Amino acid sequence: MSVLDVRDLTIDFRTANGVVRVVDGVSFSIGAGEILGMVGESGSGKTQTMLAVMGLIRDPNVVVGGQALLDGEDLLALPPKQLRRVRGKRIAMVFQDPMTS
Amino acid sequence: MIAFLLKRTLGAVLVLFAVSVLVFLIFFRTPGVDPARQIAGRQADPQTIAQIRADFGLDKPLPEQYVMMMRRLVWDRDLISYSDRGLVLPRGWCESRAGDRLTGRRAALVWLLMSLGGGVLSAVFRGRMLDPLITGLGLAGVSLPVYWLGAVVNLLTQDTFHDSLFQWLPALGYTPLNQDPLKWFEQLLFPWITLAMGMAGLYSRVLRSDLIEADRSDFVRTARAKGLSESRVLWRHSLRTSLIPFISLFGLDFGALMGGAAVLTEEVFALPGVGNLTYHALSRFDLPVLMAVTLYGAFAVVIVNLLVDIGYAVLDPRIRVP
Repeated sequence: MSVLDVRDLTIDFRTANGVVRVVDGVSFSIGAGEILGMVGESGSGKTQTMLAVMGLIRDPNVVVGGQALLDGEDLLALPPKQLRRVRGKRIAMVFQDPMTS
Repeated sequence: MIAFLLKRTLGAVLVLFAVSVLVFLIFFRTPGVDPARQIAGRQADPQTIAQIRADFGLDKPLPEQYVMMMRRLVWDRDLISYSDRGLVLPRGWCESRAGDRLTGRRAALVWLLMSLGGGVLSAVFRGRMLDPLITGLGLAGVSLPVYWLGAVVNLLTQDTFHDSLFQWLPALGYTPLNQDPLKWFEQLLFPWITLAMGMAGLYSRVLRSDLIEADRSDFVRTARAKGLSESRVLWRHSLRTSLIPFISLFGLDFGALMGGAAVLTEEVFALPGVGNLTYHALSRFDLPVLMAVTLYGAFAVVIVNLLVDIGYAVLDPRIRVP
C-alpha cells in the first residue's frame, strides 16, 4: 500500500504565447519507509511537480491536472482549508536555499 | 539586541550633540553678526543689548557660551521671544502651544492605522473590487493639497452640514487637553483626518506592493508549506518584512511633522502649533523662537529615527547583530 500515489500529474503554464505543458503525465508512488530520488535537468519540472503535490502553486495562470493521493485522499481536489491541515503534519517539504526560505 | 540598542543610542546622542553645536555656531558665531543685537530684535536700545550679552554670556569663551545656551534651552527653559514678551520658550511652547505636536502625533497614529488597513486590505483583495477603490481613495488623498482639502472639510463640517450632520462640532481653534478633553478631541478630529489623508495614500500603496512581493517570496512559501493559516502567514510573516520600508518612510515624515511640517494644516484649522510658531517667528525674525524651534525640530528627527532603527531591529533579526 503506497502512502503517496501521484497519478498522471500534468502542469500547464498559461503564457502570452499560449499554453505550455511543463509537467506531462508524471506518475509515481512511494510506500511507507521508502525513499524516492528524482533526477532531472534544471527546469525539467522536479520542483513544480512537488509544489503541485503540496498545493503550493498559487499562480492563477498555472493549471494542475491529475491526482495526488495521500493515503487515498486526493490532495489536488482538497479545499485549501483542509489542505492546510495536511501540510506540515502529514506531508512536508524542505526547500532549497535556506537563507531565504 | 542590548548591544545594538546601546550602540544606536550612543550614535543618536552623538548626532544630537553635533546638531546642537552646529545650530549654536550658526546662531552665535556667524561672522559679522552680533548675536546679542539679533536676539534683541530691530530697534533695541543699547541697554537691552547689553542685558542680552550678559544673559547669554556672550563675553565668555565659546564652550561656555554653548553650555549656557543649552542650559537655557533644555534645562531652565526661559528663552523669551522678543516679539511676544509673554511667550517664554520652550515652556510656553510646551504648554500653551502644545497643539500641533499633539496634532502631529495623533495624526500620525490615524494615518498609520489608515495606511496599515488600506495596505493590508488592498493586498489581500488585490484584483478585486476593493483594491482599486482603496487605491483611488489613496491617490485622491495624495493628490489633493492639504490647504484645499482642509478648506473643503471646513466648509462641509462648519457650514454646509453644520446644522444637520456636524452639530456637535465646535468652532475652529484649539482647546488644551487638560481643559476640556472632549472639545479638544472634537476640534482636532478633522485636522488629524485631513493630515492623515495626504499621507495614508502613499503609505498604503507602499505597503501593498511590499506585501505582494513578500507573498511571492521563498520564506512565505515555506510558511505555507508548514501548514500555517493564511492570516498567520499574513500577520506574522508577510507583514513583518513589509513593514521595514513602511517604517523608514514613517520615520522621515514623522520627524518632519514634529519639526513643524504641518504648518498648512495648522493654518487651515486655526491651530496654534509648531509649524505656525515657526512661520510667524520667521516672518518677524524672532531669533530665540527660531533657535528653539530649529533645535527641537532637529532633536525630534533624530529621536524618531532612533525609534525607527529600533523598530527595524525588532522586525528583522539580522539587523540586531551589531
